[in-house]
Amino acid sequence: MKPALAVAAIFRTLDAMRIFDLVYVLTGSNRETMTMAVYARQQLIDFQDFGAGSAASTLLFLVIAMVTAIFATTARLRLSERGVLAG
Amino acid sequence: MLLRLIRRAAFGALVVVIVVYAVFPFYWAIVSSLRTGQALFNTTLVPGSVDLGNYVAVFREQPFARNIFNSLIVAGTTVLLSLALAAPASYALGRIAFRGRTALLFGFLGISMFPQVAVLSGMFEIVQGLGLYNRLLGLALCYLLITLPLTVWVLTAFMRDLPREIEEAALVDGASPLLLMWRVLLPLMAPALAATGLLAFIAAWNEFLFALTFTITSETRTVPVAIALISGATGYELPWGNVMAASVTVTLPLVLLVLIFQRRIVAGLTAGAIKA
Repeated sequence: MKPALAVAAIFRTLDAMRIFDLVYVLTGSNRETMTMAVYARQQLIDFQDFGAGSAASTLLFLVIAMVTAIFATTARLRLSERGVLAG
Repeated sequence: MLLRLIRRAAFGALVVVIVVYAVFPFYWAIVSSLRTGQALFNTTLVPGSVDLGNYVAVFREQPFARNIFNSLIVAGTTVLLSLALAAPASYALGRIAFRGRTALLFGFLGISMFPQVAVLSGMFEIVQGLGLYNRLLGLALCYLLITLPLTVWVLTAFMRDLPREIEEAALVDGASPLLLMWRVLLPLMAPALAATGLLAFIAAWNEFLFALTFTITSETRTVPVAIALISGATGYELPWGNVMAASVTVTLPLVLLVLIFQRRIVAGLTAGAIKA
């Protein structure tokens, strides 16, 4: 069970951290509820500030990569081609 | 005996709670879509009078039929392209041993974990460079990034579980690799193709960020963006009735599709999956 649970936890966490559409549709550019992805897009497209927007989106990627790495090491996951992830 | 009865009752109650939690929002959307004006803020659970005015208004006040057509074109193109690319790829990844195969597979997996917004600026450059800004084909190309990892992984796993003897028989009979693919493997992979195709279709149908960023006119918008941008007569009014009617119109066919093919989707996805 553990590997499957860990994989599910990782995927759901990553999905939650990069969420965009729900927040954008429901609260727009409200600072109180803005997620990383909404902020990055606002800088990039709405403000046409490609430098800041790209920096924000790269940071978002790094944060997510770090969380995945922490998850994978604490759960002691090994990548295997056949079972995708094995405990 | 009593303990068992209590357990069964508790389990049943839990199931009911979960089902209500999952289904109620959609039910409420349907109820809201049948109400207009002040009735929208009525919180009784059953719709009193049924009013289809919202559904008429959605199609009259904006090119919503065109938006649905756009979504169909984009999602259909995405499915065809991703299956056409993933089926041969799964043969290579599942059958042929070459250097870097594992790395390539995990590269695909990594891409599926990528936040979309991280590739937004790069994708924008590509779409603009190809002259596909505000074009449906540009959206379909972007969606491949989302659908390909899933289709490649599932089809590769499926391919590995197909018995080798079948294709060996075909090769002995002198079939070329393309003929083998087309006449032998594709029919065998049909359940997996249907399942992944449907999931790719749903992903493309629901996608929001790329569609919002890479289209500009209401004639090229896809459904999710069109719904998000529905606005009232004044800036202070949000026509919830129209929004709900539009949402129900585009969600209901999808829900029915998934319910009909539910068993096939599960079968197609798990056929080759995780057997470590």
